[in-house]
Amino acid sequence: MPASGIFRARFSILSTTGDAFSTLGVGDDARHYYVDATKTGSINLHLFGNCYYLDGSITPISFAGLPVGFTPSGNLILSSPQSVIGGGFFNVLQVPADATGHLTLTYGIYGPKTITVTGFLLANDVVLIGANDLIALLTIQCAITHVALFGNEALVFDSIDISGNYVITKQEFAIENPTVPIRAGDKVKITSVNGLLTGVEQIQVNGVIVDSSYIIIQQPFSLWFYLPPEFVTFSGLITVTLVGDGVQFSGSVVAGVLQILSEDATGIYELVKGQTNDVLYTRDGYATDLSLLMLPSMLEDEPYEDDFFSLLAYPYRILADDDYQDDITNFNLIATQRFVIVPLSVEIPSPFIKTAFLP
Amino acid sequence: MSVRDHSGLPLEKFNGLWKRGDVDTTPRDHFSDCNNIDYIAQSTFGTRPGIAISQDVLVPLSNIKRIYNYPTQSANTLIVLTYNYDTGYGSIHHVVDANTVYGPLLSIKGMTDFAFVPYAGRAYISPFSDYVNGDLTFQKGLANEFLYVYDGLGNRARKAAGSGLSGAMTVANGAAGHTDPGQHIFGFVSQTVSGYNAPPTILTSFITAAASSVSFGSIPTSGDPNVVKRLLVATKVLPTFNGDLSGYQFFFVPNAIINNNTDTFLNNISFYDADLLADASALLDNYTSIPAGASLTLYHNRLCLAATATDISLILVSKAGEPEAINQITGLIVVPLDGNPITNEQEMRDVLYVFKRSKTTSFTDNDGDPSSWPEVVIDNSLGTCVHGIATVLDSGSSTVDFLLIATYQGISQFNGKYVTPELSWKIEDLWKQLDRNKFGNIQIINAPIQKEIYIILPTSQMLMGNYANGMDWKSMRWSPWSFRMGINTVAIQNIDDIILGADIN
Repeated sequence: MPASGIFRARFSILSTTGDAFSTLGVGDDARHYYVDATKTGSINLHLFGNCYYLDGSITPISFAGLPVGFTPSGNLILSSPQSVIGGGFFNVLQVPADATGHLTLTYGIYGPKTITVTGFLLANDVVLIGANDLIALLTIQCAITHVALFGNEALVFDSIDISGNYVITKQEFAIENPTVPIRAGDKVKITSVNGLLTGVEQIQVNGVIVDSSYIIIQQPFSLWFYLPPEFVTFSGLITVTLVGDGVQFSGSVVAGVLQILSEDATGIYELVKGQTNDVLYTRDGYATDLSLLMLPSMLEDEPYEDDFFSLLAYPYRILADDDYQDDITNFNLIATQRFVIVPLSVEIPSPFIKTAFLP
Repeated sequence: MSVRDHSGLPLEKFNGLWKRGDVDTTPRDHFSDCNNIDYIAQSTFGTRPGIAISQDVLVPLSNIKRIYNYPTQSANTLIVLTYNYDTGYGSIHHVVDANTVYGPLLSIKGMTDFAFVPYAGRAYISPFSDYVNGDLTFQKGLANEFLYVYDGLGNRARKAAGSGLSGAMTVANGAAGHTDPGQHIFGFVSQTVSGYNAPPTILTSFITAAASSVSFGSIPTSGDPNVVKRLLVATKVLPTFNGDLSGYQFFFVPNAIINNNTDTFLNNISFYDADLLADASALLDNYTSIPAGASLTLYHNRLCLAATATDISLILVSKAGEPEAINQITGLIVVPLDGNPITNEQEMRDVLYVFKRSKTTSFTDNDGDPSSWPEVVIDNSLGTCVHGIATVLDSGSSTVDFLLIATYQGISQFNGKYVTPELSWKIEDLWKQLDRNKFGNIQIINAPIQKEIYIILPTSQMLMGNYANGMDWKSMRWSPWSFRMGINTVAIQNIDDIILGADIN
């Protein structure tokens, strides 16, 4: 993937509003929308689906499929390279003298920005300044108002595009060792290229806010926190999101994705004076044992499942015969499945103090 | 002011966490926040001790809900409740040591907690759980469940008490002997291995002769394998008999005992009415199945059980020395009803203190029946929760002359009245943030050797209070302790071994 290039994105219809338009297809991929005389209406366009073409490719991709770090560079050009009439991208087939209209571009968090089009003929490309950051939110509304009595008018567009340059920028935040699975209580380490991590106001893991007491280090270039205990029983992928304080950066940024292993560390423990770590039970994987059971006199009576299995202190499974109650003659040999216990030494979570205010 | 002119501020003492009021008001010798800190000597601190796994067996217990220290006659052991979230069953196990665990001794659906008291090497176990009353969550005994007794030997726990023999027997004159001639009513009392005497049953009327002993045949055996003896009971001579076999006073007949549960006869028993001294009539009014409650304690060698499923303000008090013998009439104490269940009971200085969540009252043994014991209200605003009284060492709950109690106010010393300010005065904000509906999760132990208090919080984390500098609100040094998993329960064993139980939730 080159570090920079050109891209093009094609708009599609989002909705129509106002008085009804009637459609009439004309030409290759052309869209003709007619509105009756004395009526008013508008069409909304947006970038949707597989609509991005990179570096002259004819195969479109989605916004989500853009390479990591994709960033439009410089101004973007709104154009209709295959327009039916005149080189502009909006045209009216029958141009009434009394018709008026306008074009509204909505983008960025401070939009909409409005460009009024007169005569319904836009001969020149429109330059969008500052739309880079929120290109996925770009929408266009084109409206027409017709007050005369003669003739229908058509709003015609064909292949409305936005195009420009892009660069691949390195991600601002990254998780260290993202391919190594972790457990609740392990450290998650995030680094920053530009030293913005002191601007992190909140950390979210799959939407769960990480309590500030789990944050170990928050410095410009590194942010460490313990994966909170809410994820003890969770197994799968988690997304770590950083929320900015509005000063160093705003909004939320996905720092990365991690694989979580569930951890069943339950059991009986004892405090050990002088021990500098916690040693936990971990239950990883299974083993199957063949066990000899010393059964009480219940075999002389009719055995019941609860009576029998309540004697077992571990998960159980009879391999030989599911209908054991029907022809039970010898329960001595039984296959049992159990978790394998592996002691796991971990750090004591986040020992810290904060002093009082010191002048 | 330049750095050169800045004078240093030496911090010579660290007196622990201060969570009270605005953070800017934290005294300089305290922490505005801390975690996993242990206090060393008078003024230093370090990281808390680590924890280690306690069981060295192939399949350690998991999902621990509650642990109690269980002193048997020969060892200090643990009794442990685990919970299976898939089936909803709670199971009780006896952990003898790191390599030996018995159980499950008892498995009951919905048992999320249990009350426990050791007695003569046996364990008395009462399953209970949460219930919701309006917006409040309380604890009371499980409905249709009972008090259980475990023998400490690995056998399954059984229902405490029990019903008597059923069936009929024959009575006849035996060999030459003596009785006061006349009409008597005879019966048998079955006795279990734990010493419980069932109500007299197989009552049979018989007219004895002066020169004959009495012999009994076809005596039923008990279906309860725990019955080890059957004892003969009899009335004195009845001048008149109205046909009501159980309407008379019964006495144990001296030396008239079948020392097994197999023989069906007892021959040639001689006695005079004057020998009939030990009353057995009260056994007729005993519970044969004791309903489960949320609180168990011992007071004057009596077992006290409170907060059953149907009577949340009732205390069932046993006969002294016979923890399973609870009289349904004279063995009951009613704490004034206020919609709140009894949460805890504790003896101190010869007084039985009874707690609700925000009330403390007391009863004193007057050598009469428990139902006659006078009540004195101690505090109408402070009480505690089901595990809110600190266990001391591995033997009981009161330290010499005071209790440590978790109230809604904080951790308080109680010496007959609540001492104020409470010990946790410095961390009042932390304490008052706790969810009151989860106070049932709070459990406290006091380790005098370490001079530390360990408190399980409703958040499944711990709070440690160090009183090496003194046990008062000024000298206490607090620190939250957290772990990678939720800690539900704490116990103290072998004087100063601190045992923790971790649950998946």
